[in-house]
Amino acid sequence: MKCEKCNKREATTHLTKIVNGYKEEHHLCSECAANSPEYKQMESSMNFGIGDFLTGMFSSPKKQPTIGGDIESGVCPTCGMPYSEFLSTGKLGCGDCYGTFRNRLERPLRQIHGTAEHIGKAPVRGGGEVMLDKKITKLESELNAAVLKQDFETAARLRDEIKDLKNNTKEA
Amino acid sequence: MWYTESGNEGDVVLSSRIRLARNIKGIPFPRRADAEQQNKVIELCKAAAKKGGIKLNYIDINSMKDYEKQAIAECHLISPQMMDDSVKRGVFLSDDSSVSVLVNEEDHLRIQCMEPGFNVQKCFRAANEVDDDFEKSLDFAFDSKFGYLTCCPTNIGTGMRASVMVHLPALTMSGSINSIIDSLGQLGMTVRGIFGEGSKATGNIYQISNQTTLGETEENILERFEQIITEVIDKEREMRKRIYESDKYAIQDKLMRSFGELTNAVILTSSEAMSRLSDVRFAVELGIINNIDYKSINTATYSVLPANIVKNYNTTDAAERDLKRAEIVREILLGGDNK
Ligand SMILES: [Zn+2]
Ligand SMILES: [Zn+2]
Repeated sequence: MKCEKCNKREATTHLTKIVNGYKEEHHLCSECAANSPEYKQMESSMNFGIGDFLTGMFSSPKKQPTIGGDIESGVCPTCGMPYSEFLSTGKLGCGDCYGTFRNRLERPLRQIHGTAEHIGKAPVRGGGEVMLDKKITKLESELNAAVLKQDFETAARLRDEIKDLKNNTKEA
Repeated sequence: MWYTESGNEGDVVLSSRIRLARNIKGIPFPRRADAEQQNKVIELCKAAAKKGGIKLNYIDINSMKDYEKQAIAECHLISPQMMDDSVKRGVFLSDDSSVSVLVNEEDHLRIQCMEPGFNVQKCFRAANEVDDDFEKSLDFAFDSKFGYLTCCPTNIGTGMRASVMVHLPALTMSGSINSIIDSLGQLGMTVRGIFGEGSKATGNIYQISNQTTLGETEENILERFEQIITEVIDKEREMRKRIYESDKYAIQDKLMRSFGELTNAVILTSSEAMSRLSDVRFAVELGIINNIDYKSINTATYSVLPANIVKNYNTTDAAERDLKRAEIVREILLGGDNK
């Protein structure tokens, strides 16, 4: 079979693609195939999926000093997923996985999102304490800033405020 | 339906969407849940929806025929992932389909709110309301540091993705689209084809969405998103002007030929229909064609898709479908009931 583009060389690459539910077949020589948009598109969809990047990122032992030492071990108590499975799929098994693997996840999450700290919406239900936690964290960083600036008046006020909030959480 | 209407900046933006990912505490994510747990999620969601203030109708996806699933996926009401039957899945739809809540997609809930034109704020308000409604009855998996917890770590935090469907014929024609896609990538935006992940831009229609979901408030993410999309809209409009001014008659000729083809073709494949419809849309945008509105073109764009033809005309044979497609497009463009 001759290449459908140049009609000269023998077709060695046979592409089948599905466009809106339709099957299209293309027969190209290697030279034309390398230059075809289909091929370029295929190339760009190859192994560059987010999953491939993620697993690379999360498994790189150099970037990840861990506490327990053995990086691939550990199983989530709620869903039973071992960390090694996450390394191959790039997906977590349940919400509790984040708590279970927190130490290993934090750094790569920061690499993906540029940060590892949520500051958006929080559920109100059972989240009252969450909001309180947020507030305390925010006040604590303000306190640090005040201390650095040697603004001890503000620092003292913030310290009292934090103390009050912390007492509230304990009572609740 | 929202997806055939025309809204703000309708000459560039076809539609806007907000999607929130949510999961129920203590139950494994759909791909790791067993059948019983998957059913439990569906039952919990049904009960929550019943108590909520927004009227939603539940549809069991697994009991739908393949072409029915594909048809609602073509209209973006569900994602293509929902078509896989290995997990028990369902969808809640509002009467006008502008709200759709996918149950057991990658996450337990994917709340989607859609609007015609450029209006992510309205979508966000709607999505927030639906979220509040479900949250009244459901305990969501949430971590004070990581935010809403999702199956894929790329969605944690707000769990929010904003996206718009834009028609960019001039930026595509001029070749500047590639550098724009690169720049948008650096600004934390993803650009895909009209049918989502991995699909190429059929009919010069692109889907642009935010990439990062953690570390910013929803409002900040939206504000930045709107700024960037406004830039894209301006660039497309500027490029249209330039292209048209540089070679007026050649452009008119190219676009009107496509109009001629669509109004005279007897056999029309879906990829041909999509690319010619893009030309006709471009002609309307440039004011070359005045007697066709965006609504008609949107209607045509969605009704030519394979599964929609199967669903609406019961034609499963591909050759028959190409005939039907030509007929539908001809009718819409030459003034059927859409005027
Ligand atoms: Zn060749
Ligand atoms: Zn787990």
